[in-house]
Amino acid sequence: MNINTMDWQSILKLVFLNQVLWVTITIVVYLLAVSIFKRFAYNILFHPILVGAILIGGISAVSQTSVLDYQLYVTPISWMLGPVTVALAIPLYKQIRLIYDSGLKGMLVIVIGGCVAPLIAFGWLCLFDFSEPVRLSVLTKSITTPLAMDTTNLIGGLPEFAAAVVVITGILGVMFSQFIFKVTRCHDPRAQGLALGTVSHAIGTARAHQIDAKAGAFSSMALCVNGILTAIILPIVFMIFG
Amino acid sequence: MSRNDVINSGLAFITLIFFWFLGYGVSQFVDLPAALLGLLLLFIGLICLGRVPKALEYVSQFCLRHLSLFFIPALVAAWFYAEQLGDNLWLFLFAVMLSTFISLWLTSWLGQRFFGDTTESVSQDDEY
Repeated sequence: MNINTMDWQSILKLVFLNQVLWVTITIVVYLLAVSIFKRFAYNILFHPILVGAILIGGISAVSQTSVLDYQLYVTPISWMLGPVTVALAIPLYKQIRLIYDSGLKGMLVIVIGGCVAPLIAFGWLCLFDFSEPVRLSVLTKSITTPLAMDTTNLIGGLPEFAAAVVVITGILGVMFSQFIFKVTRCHDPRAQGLALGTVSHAIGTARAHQIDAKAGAFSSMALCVNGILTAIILPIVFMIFG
Repeated sequence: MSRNDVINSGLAFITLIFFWFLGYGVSQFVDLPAALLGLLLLFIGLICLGRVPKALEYVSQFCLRHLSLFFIPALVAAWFYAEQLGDNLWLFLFAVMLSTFISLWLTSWLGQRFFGDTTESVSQDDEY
């Protein structure tokens, strides 16, 4: 095929224009979703990720932009996820005394919670006819999205699917939490924070901060520890047994 | 925000990108996610430094507060895969629901047993 340079230039220009357009649309939609979340008094069903994704889905459907094209246009946003994940080092550093003080008990809760959730989901999916990449995508369900996407990619799952599972887990965890805390008579803010952070990662941590500062600190500790342990252990397990 | 603050925030942001690249470099030799390696390297750096620079703290808090923005593209793409699951979608969602319910039950029960009756030994309520 004979491609002349003029064509390439115009294609690149078109992609660039579309990138600027869709990145702007995504940011504006996100800001709108945040204000909707505030308007509904931080009701978890109106979480900005959910509302944002639905709005973007709607806009791309109306403008007849395929999901794959949209992914291409918003690469700058997707790429930024890496450096933003690195920023988790700061809360981890600030929680280091808390990790040390809560000792083995805290670790035990996080490790048990961090193992049980993905294993139950994985076991359930094994009972039915699901493809291997889909099954693997639930193994990172309880860790924060950026780590989950990277880890799922390494073990052979579908990163986008993993992201959706993580977000759904976070929202469900917050929805269930009030009922479960009542049934298990879990009144201690430290225990509540640990449970929310271990199971519902960043979305649970945002909820824990609403309970009180102590719950928030324990939750962000659980989020960091569970995320990092899972992201280290899963690829190693798959390297040995995979 | 003064001009100095803007420059420092920019530098802090470049630091995050730099550590991500460092993590990416290491990930060529170690089979772990690049972002995780960057995170651990920055964490080690902070331990060596012994404190979190103010601008870095400000920038990271800003980024983490708006973390949701960066997942919107992934979630939109997940829609595409969800359609492929067809009838199995409900079984799949049930797996996520069931495992979340049980693990939250277990962690809150365990946490309450471990921390519920002990005296408040940890006093870091002003952190984060």
